[in-house]
Amino acid sequence: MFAIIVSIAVTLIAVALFARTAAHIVSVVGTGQPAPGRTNQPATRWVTMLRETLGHTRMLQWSLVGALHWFVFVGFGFLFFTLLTAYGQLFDASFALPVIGHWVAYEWVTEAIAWLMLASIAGLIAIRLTSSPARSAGRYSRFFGSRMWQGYFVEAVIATIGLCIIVLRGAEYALLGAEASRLHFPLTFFVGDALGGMSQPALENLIHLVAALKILVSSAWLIVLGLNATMGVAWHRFTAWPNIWFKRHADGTPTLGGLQPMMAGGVPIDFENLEELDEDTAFGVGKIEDFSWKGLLDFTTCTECGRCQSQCPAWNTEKPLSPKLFVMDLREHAYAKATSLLTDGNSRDDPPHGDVAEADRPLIGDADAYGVIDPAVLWSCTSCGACVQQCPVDIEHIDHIMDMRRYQVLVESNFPPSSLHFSKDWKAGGIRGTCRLRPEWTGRRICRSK
Amino acid sequence: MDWAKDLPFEVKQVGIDIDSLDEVEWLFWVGCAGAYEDRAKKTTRAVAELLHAAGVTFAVLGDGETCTGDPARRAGNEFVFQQLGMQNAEVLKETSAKKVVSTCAHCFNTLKHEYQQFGVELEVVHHTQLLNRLVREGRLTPVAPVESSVAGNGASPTRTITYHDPCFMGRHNQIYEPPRELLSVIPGAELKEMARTGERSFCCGAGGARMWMEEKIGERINLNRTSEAVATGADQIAVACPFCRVMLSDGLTALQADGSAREEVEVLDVAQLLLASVRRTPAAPGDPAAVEAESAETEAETDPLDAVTPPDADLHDPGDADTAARLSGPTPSPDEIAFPDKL
Repeated sequence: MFAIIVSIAVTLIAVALFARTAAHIVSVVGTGQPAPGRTNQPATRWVTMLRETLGHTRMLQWSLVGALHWFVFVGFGFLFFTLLTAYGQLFDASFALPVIGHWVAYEWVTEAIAWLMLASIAGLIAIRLTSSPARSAGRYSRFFGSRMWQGYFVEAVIATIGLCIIVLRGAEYALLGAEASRLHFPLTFFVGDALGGMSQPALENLIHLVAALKILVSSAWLIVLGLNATMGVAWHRFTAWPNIWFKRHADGTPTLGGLQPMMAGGVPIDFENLEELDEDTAFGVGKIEDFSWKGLLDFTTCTECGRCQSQCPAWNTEKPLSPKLFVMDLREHAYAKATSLLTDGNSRDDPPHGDVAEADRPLIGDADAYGVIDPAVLWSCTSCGACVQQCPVDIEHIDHIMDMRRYQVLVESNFPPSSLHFSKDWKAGGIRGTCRLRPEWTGRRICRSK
Repeated sequence: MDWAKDLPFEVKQVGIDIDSLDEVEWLFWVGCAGAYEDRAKKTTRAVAELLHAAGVTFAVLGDGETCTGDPARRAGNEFVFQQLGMQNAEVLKETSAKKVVSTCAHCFNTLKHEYQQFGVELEVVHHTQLLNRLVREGRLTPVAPVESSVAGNGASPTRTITYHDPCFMGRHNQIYEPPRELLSVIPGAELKEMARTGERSFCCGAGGARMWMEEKIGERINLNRTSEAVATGADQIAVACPFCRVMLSDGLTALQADGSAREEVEVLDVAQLLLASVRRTPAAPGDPAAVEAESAETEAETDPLDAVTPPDADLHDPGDADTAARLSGPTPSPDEIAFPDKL
């Protein structure tokens, strides 16, 4: 009885917290600028999304992790039915879902998926442990800078739920006693055999308790999500779908190739409409709200898996840019700033960054200015596309970096910190001035000033 | 056009030799590097020779071409990009350009994806794609090894080549196979891949306008990549982009200077490697008699690897391959770009 009350009460709290934070995420993403073209060819987009999620096409670029993750992904979705069963088992230990509950096919699939999910999550935990920055390559671990507790938490939840399912199935088998058929418990009858010595009331209590545990752990997951809007490793369960659906190319091509034009309010800026623009129209991105909503959804979705970081030529040569850390910093800032703005200005009495409130931090600035993104990070990017190519949830890193560069150059006149001739050449039209001099050209280097 | 000066045939220029690109199959977009940078000029010449040998008609824009704007755009200067783009678009429309071949992965990408904005729709191919097509069609036929500047061992098929994927061909445009197919049909050469290849290839360090910036933090990207290429033991490092070529050549020079790379190793464009193994003939393609008769002497005269221009060893700035070396510029030219008032 106690278990019933606690389970239901915790579930209600968890769902409420989760829903509140989900609404908050939607409102934060909604503060972004328009992103035109993201809903064209809807049919193609659905196909792309289903292919990339169900088929794990981007994930499987790393075959082992991709395969393990697929089983967890499928398990986490399909085994929702076992969660429903668990609520019934709080009341009646021999409860089964109506219609499908005793259907052999359902039982086989459930048990197979539960075991595969357990094995896979064990594999993923092992991978996270062995490649954690503390144990292996430090900076060269792809998890360097990722919030490891979040990953371990999600993995522990999945492992616990998987174990609960196996124990519950075994106990159900044992409870059936002589009526039990291995046909209906193909992969858990031996667990049931092991529990065979228990009395019927003890078995019923075991089922009640394990079902309650399963519900509490699932609720804990929702509560932790509800308390951590920036926990992409858990939220991507929900945000990856729309993030893939809204990717730039409906057909699923990675967001590479051409850059997008510079936008103001969703309209490309060119010389023709330049004069008509508002005085305070931003060129590029100078503050977090200048990103499009798709940008903010990108940041929200990052799982901190670090595939981008592992491939980045800047990061691999000890430069400060990691695409993952770049996205994580923007995400923290977006949510911290949104919270302080939504709660009427600077509600923070104790700003975490010296005397600068989150809302007052410059988007681009060095440590002394409490900048969110250091200029050295911004200018380290070679736009090689490795991060975008790798990202399993289709984050469009390069577009964001280039939009921030645009603002730096066109509004702030801040050029890359360590460039010779760069700023003066460029302000003077150096590229054009140097590259178009065909016959007279005698210089030896590309685009040398003449 | 300096790069075309010593070619044994005339390179047609739109506006001078022909009025419109309708008279030829292809516009050969040479690009800034291809026109002015000594190493890249060899690529330009090799492609021109191969197209000529295959009987493909093409023309260039000469002075009509300016930078496509890729570096400007990726350095954040959208207005310079637009200025350059509009200027080029005007020329491309006037000359009714439709099919374009480019030797520069950056020009290729920009022309292909970013000029719709200026009302120009083009069919753009990279030179490795076009050359591969010509080889498949039998219009270019690689034959047994000839004297090259490195593997001049006659019949010995021991030369190994490694291929560096330019980011703007590979990841940005999913072109991985054509250059590899070309390298694989070169007789007497074996392709040896680096560990980081294809979709996981490692950048040379020049994209995103990094070519024009100093690299003071951490290891040099080009040295990291060049070391990987050298570690394959390859005799030749094949590239398909002038930016990569500058970065890897500079990296190789530095590694050779400190003794960690063999002196014989060289960085060459795929087109040069192909040209060295193709029998060339001005006669119609597929004419065996003409091919037999012409090949020997033509090759001797116009070996792309060492003829035409003097070696450019003085270009390499060992150990100092950054902006100062790549881009030493005196006073910039007067402001030619009309900046918006806000600036």
